[in-house]
Amino acid sequence: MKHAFLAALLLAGCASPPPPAQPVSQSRLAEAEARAAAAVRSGDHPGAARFYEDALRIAVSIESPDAIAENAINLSIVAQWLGHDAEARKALATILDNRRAAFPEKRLLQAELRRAIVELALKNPAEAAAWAQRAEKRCGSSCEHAATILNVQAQIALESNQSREAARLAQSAGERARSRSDRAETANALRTLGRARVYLGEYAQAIDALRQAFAIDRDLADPRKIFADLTELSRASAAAGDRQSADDYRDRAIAVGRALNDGRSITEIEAQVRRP
Amino acid sequence: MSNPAFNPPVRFTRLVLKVNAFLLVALLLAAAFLGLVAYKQGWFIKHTTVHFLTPNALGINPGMPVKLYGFTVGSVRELDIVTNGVDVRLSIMSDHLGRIPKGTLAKFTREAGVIGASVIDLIPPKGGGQPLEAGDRLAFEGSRNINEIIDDLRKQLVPAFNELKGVLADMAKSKDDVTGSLSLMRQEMQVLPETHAALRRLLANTDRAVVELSRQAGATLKAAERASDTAERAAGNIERAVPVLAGKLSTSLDSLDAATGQLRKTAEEAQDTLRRARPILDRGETAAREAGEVMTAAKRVWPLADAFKENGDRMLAIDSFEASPVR
Repeated sequence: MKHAFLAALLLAGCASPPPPAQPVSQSRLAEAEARAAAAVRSGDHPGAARFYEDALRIAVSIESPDAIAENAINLSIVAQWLGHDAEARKALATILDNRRAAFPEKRLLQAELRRAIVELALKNPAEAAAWAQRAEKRCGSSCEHAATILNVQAQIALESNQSREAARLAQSAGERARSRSDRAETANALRTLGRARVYLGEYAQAIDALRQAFAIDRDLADPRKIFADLTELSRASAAAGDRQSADDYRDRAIAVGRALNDGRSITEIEAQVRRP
Repeated sequence: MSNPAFNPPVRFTRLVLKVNAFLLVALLLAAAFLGLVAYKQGWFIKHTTVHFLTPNALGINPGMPVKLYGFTVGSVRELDIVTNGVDVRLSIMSDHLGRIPKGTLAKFTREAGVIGASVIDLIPPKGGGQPLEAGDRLAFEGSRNINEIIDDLRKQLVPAFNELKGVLADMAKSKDDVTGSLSLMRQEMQVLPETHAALRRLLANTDRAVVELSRQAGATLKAAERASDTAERAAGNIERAVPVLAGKLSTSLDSLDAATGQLRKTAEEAQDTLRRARPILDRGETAAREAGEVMTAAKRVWPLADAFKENGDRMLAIDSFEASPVR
């Protein structure tokens, strides 16, 4: 009896009070976020957008600045994947046009950077430059998004016909990305550098940079980027006068584009690849 | 009063037969169950017993798996206390005995480094040999305690730290040399465009001189009466040009030679530094890999598992590719 009592006492010592129950809204928010993440992983982008919208609505209803920012940014990313750039901008406005909520600095920086990306995708380089500059100011010299900001600025310079400046920024972005072992941004920098070199008439260097970007993207197995690399390689080879390589890259790009099956028609894909 | 004769109810006809049939089926089922258990437990597999002696049997228990190349080939059967130690008998599946030669070492170890299930690992000798037979005795190596592990780690790290210290000391000593070399290299690099320009000028001058010479020669042929004068002038020109050209060429070559020398020296120094750093990198890589294995094992152990719950980042990656015109 005494031993049994001691054993029971010992077991009671191991016991811990149950964790406090999570409020219903918090658990609904967590569930919506988890479902959205699962949808992203399974490639169900429309589903992911729906769940992020739900999560954002719940976050707004409980006035949680971090959750609002997080879900608005994620929603903007998924909206862009779906080709809805305007909706992506609208999602970011939840953060950037909100004067009342105190969002964490990191989330503000991410929102500004995302806004620069969306504006550039919407062909507004001047707006994009302004948002990128705000993000750069908030980032300082070495935040985790420094390479991404430089890559966006390089693309803005390229859109503004400043090829030399674009090449310089892309090189800086590449160095910054390599120092953080960020392979995706390294490949992005090399792709932009390749495009800038084509505009500068430095075709051999352009093809070299694009091939490096292609090798990284193939390792990362990102079909959209593989499509972009092959398209740019086709253009660079054509500009260099290598008709055979240009045709080869173009055919491969079209094959990848068809396999992407992202809702674009074959004509759209071919038009994008053949665009000068 | 007479007792009426006992008439069993109709529904209990052939009761004994039914009971016996039921018992027979039950017996068969029990036997089948026992047979299945015995099969699963490996009672039908032929085992051979070998043994080893250990000064103490701490951590060794009956039933502990015996592994060969990580594959379970038997288990610890029983332990007997004998003079000066413990006799540990291993039950090895006879089918695998052919792969375990005489001279095999039995080593007490854990499956994932420091943390993990304890096993007896059989390490066959290099080159093989005659297979083990029943009753053979194996050599045994006990487990290392934490002090021995730390001591071993220290022994492995000390040379690495000494090498690191040496490299740092060398770098400290050669700080001025490195700075000087870099400075000289920079100066030479700055001079390179001028050298290049000088070389181009030199080639242009030479070209002009050759043209001039050719023109003068043509004129000499056409104007025979002025041949001697022209020849003298041409000779004078060449005489003046050659030392100047030679001087420029010499300066350029000297500059190039100095730059090449500096580059070679710097490359040699860099190569030497890399050679010195290589063992440190190798040891660091091994240590990191082993630490990773220990952490992985620790994460699987029940009391620690909760402390390593992964906290996934819910943010999607922000990718500048989304701004690209080709998406």
